[in-house]
Amino acid sequence: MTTLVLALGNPLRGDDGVGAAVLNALPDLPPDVTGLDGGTPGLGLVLSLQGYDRAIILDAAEMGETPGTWRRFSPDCLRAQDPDLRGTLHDAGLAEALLLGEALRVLPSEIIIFGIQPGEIGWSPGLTPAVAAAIPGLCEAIMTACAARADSE
Amino acid sequence: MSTLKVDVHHVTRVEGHGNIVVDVENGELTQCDLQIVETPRFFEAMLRGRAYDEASHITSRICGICAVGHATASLRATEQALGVTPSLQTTLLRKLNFHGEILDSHVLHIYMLVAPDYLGLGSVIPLAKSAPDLVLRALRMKQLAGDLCATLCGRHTHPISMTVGGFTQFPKPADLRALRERLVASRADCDATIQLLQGLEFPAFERDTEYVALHRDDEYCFIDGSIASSDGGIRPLADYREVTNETIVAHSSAKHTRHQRESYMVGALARFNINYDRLHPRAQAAAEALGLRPKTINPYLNAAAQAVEVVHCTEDAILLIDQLLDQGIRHEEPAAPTRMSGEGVGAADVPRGTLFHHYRIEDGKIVGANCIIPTGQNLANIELDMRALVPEILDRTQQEITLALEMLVRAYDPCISCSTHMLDVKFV
Repeated sequence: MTTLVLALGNPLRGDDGVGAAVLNALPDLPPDVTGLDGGTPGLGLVLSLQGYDRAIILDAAEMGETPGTWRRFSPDCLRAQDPDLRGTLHDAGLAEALLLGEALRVLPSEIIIFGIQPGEIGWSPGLTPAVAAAIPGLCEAIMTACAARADSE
Repeated sequence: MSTLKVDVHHVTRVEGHGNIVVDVENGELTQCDLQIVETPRFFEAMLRGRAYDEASHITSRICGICAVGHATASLRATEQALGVTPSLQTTLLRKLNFHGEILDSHVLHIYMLVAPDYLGLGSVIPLAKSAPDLVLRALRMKQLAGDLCATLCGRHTHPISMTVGGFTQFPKPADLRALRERLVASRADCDATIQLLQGLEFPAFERDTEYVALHRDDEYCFIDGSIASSDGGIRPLADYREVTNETIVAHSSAKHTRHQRESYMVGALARFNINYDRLHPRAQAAAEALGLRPKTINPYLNAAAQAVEVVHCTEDAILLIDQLLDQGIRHEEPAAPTRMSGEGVGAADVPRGTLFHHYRIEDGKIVGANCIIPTGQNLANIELDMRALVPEILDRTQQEITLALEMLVRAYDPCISCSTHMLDVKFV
């Protein structure tokens, strides 16, 4: 099965860059796994996800936890700010893009989201120490997730 | 309906915040405003004191859609001020980059913002469920447009490599050939876009107005040229203030403009009306298929004019790539300033209309800046359209009137944050 490991976020805004930092820190990926730094694609995210059996999405997530805490969860846990996309389309984020992808029936059958609690999302690049410290553990969990289904096949 | 109050607080599917307020008492229209309620953003003040080569990077942030347009107008203003003459290659690369942005913006507007109204759907999500092929086509066309920009200027939006006098990176011939192949393949998507527009029933509303666009004799103009009016007269860019005549109005944080009439329109329909003869033959054929000819005075058909421009920009992008590949891509240094002080006006006809940047530079630092944004120039015209439209449709329900007004405002593809100088419908 093909897997996309997709990092989201803007590295110029502090801990929002944690997805890209984790992607860079991953060891060599198996041949059926593709890594992609998606940046902040808005609804364009739908096309990035198209054609993969599975997507593993890495993104900073406000979860009300201490900085650097991370969780693995499913798209069902996301709440779209603008579920009907009646607004400007300027603010479309991950939840809105996944809603559009679902409506278009182009999403991978399995989507795993790793959400990392940011410490600071400011106006300069670089991770806070607590968030940077979470990277090795995240890498391990992502590689385990990549291997999980491949082994079971 | 002899008494009508419409109050749309924050019109949706436009960029930024504006309100529509309409009041009809005993059949008399007493109020009909397009209120712009966004705060001004003070970009012109931010430029003061900054080095001349920072201006395009700062002003491209005025807009997340027209970033290439702002950067282009900004660079042209700086180049005029400092006596910089870009090379032919730079001019070709800028034109190609610009087409990418027009395509991206027009596809977004036609498919995501306008089509749901005409197909009786509230937004793109139900549209995706009922017509997934249509939405996937839009996303595919947008992706190509974004990749075109990224190949030319380093990323999809907010160009990195466009600089005063030239570019700091150059596309590889292989990248251009790959883009060309995708552009040729996207002709099928262009045809499908025209077919989509053919199937939409546009309101029959018409109101004659003045149309203003940049104009050149030798091409369908998006960059440089002169300022042309459908009422006659061609003016040099340096005289832009004689066209825009900005004034302050109480209900809008965006200024209004007027030229030879009470208001004028800029954007795809204005360009189409003024520069029709210079459209690529395939684009002219698309216009004919849509029944669109100059001068078209139904503002709702701005979306149809945009579709014609989608065809034009796709075809012209293919021609530009051929020209660039024929002459070969050279890694050249940007053309240098010949002086460090001066004054210049740059202009580009961006997706929503004519954009002016005007800078005064002293010893390499910007000491004065003025940016006049397309949506600001359209506000007065939208209000006059609304005033003409409301009496024509007073026999309809309040809900139908509100929708007709919202669709009218959306037809202009307003970018309110940029102009803040715009929109929310209030029937008070």
